[in-house]
Amino acid sequence: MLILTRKSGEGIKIGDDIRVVILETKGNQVRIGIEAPKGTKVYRDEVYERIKQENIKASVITKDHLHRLFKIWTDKGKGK
Amino acid sequence: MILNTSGFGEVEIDEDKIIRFPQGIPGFADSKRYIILDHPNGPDVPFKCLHSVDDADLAFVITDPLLFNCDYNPDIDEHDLKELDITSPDNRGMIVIVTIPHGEPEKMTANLQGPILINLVTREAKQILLVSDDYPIRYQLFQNVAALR
Repeated sequence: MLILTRKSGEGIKIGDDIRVVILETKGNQVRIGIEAPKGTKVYRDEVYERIKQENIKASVITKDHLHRLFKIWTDKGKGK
Repeated sequence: MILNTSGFGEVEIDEDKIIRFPQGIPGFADSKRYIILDHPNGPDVPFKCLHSVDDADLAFVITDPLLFNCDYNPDIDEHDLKELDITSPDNRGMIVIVTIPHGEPEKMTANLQGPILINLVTREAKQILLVSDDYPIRYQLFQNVAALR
């Protein structure tokens, strides 16, 4: 991994069209600005992991679950 | 073909309706083929089951996000559309996975941050990750009962 030291206001170029700027540092938090072409996906590291964990949580289902959902749905007034 | 499932017994499925996830679903990379099963109470119930064809134990509850959040209109990345060869809104389908908290099904949530995008013609699909934080990973489905019509 390439490691660089930067101060607030300084930036890093990645390739020709991606620019990362350190906007502010406060305590143990760093605010970062990112300029990248449309279509480049930029997201926090933990997003993929959170989606994965949510999928794992959602993957435990049975017929009984579906029946209970149906009951909740009808009880809440499905708008007849 | 007959699909053996642990939660629903033996189910007759139409092979032409199989949806392929070339990359699997995050957390379940090995399962590439799924089928949508209607709710036992009929096709009008908005909760359906996305069942793996490759794993008898793997299934998700899915729903149409627009039934619960009429404003749901996420920006879909061009690369994702291109990857699935979705060229027009007509062949684009979108569903979301519902999470049912253990013992508290009425607090069910839908994952609006990671919708499943489907090419309705080729039946190829992918769970996409929205870059923006506009839509939560746990959207309470029954916070707005009035929207349920």
